[in-house]
Amino acid sequence: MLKGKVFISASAMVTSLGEGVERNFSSLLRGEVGVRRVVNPRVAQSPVTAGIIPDSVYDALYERYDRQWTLTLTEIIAVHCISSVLGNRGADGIGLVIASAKGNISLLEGHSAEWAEFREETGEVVGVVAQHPGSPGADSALLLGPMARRIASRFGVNADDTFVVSNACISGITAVAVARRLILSGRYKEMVVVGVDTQNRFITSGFASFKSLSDDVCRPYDESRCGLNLGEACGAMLLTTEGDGVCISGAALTDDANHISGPSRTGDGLYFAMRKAMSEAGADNVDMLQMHGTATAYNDEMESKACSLAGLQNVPVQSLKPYFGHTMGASGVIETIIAAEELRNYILAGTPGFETLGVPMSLNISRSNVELPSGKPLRALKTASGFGGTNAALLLEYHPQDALSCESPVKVNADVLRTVLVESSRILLNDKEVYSSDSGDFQDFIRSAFKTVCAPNMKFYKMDSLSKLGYVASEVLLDGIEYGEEDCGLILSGVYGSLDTDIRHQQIIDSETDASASPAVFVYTLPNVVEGEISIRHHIKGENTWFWSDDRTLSDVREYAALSMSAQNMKYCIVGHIDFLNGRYFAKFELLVRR
Amino acid sequence: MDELIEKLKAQLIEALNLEEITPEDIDPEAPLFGDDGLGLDSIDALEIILLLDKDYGIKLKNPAEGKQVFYSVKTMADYIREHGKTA
Repeated sequence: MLKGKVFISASAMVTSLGEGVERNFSSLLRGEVGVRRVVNPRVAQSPVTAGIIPDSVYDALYERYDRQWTLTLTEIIAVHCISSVLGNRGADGIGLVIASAKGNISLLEGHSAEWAEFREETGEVVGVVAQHPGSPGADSALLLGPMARRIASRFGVNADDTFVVSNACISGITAVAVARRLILSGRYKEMVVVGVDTQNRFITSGFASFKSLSDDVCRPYDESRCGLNLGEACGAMLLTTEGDGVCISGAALTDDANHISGPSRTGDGLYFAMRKAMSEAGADNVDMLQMHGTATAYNDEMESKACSLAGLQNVPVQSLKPYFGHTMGASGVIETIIAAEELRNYILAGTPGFETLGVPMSLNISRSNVELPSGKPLRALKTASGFGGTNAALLLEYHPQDALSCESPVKVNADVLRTVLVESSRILLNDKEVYSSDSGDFQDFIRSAFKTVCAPNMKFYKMDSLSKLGYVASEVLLDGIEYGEEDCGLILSGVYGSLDTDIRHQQIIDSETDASASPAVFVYTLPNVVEGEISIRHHIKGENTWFWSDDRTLSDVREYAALSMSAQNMKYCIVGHIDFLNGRYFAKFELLVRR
Repeated sequence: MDELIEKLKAQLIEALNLEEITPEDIDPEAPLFGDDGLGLDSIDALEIILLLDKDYGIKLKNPAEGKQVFYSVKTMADYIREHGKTA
């Protein structure tokens, strides 16, 4: 447990409903939705029902911050939101956490052929005529780390104080949890948390291949629900150790360890996250529950089960997805900001389109706004779930009377029990070679390594290269180790993330049409999915988080893992750095054990 | 030898990355999904939908609709012969 209260001192957002928290919140209370039928080639090849930020909003921001149009759409809304929460304060001493599922992925459009030829060690690229932010290179704006630096440098925040997470749909909540933990550990007094994602053909074609998009405004938890709407947005919060508004007193991240894209059929992973967040906050009940509510058949079903397991079936529930769409990495932040506004104003916005409950377990959902009890401290539980089997929960509190401060931080010491290195056709365990191959080709190497050091598993051959690499490395690392399911976490990092598979997906939609996108390819276009595969194989239900990092010494992930082990009472944590791109690979994993 | 069934087996092996499986391993009447056999999952169901659309012009809205169609390789072949546009 990492007990303590971290306050939301300021917040900002840009969504399909426009700019500003006040404008967005009052739109919600009027039942106005930002999701509508959109015809926009930037977003999708054919009409799609989504929550898209109006061009006029983008234009106004470029006019204000970037007349040369050097920043991408994703970057400009992030810059605006950070600027808004900092106000006149400036960024001295501030830490920054940026969360995004796909960042500047639209820069890959028209450049997938160049990237497919890129070889890092030589910087070799074929056929590039002009430099462009998306041009291949380890510092390309296409990558999350460089994107974050382009944003952070606007405020004088340097790389050491900038953290980048990409954890699929729970990225935003992950960023809040990371910031909360960094503040409680004493490393920062104040942090800015940003969640941002914009829409593009890459994402819309992928979700379309999953047949998970609805042509109408989505209807979470309703028996007629037929899928989700995509959306784009940015949200930012200034988190501080002191304040008198809404605070975050609990946070937990877990993994289903069941399937990389389908939700758990039992809801136990989400329930664990809810239970842990409430327990960390010392809360045995809550006044409102805001869940992920994407309106797909299985997500909503799973959430109703988790809610029942947590005994919260009578608590008023909402989903904000009909208002904003599913804004991916931004959702955890913008939705938490709204939850905080709801607490401060004692009112819970209705869930549009809800008429008849269509999930197996009971939920207390209202189509219209619900008043929250006044004159007492209020609590909200905010949850999210995502690809890779991830789940996240935050416990928010509002006590207008009490002024509360943080308790002293807890330090966890961990030892490195084992190390695995996979590179140059060799696998080393604690510096001793356990496997080597004559073949310089990754596909040959990894298949023969799999057959030699791993138990048979037909699913291996469906994985992308990054996942195959991580799977083999973790098999060697964990051989013979036993732990309780919730007792182990997985914190990985990398430079290129899922880029190798991103290129494949982009090539398919470029050479054919968006309708030809392959779900088996698209499911691997998130950097944390390799963690999902490892967790399924090894029953790891603790925190699964992916950071952008170019540090192969693992010192940054080790430092965060110590916080995670403390916050989530885990005895073990796997940390690592893993990269695969165009046949080049590197994986270094460590198994940490708490002293 | 049913040509369409043999072709479908090869296409499934390719599309679903069933690397360790040969066409001889696939019994055309056995259920494709479920605990035994090929260990297919929800993503495989979506890939089969894509395959039926691209190569045979059959449009299925979602895996639920497809459940009867791709129960086995044989039911797929029968459905294609009835509804599909083969070259």
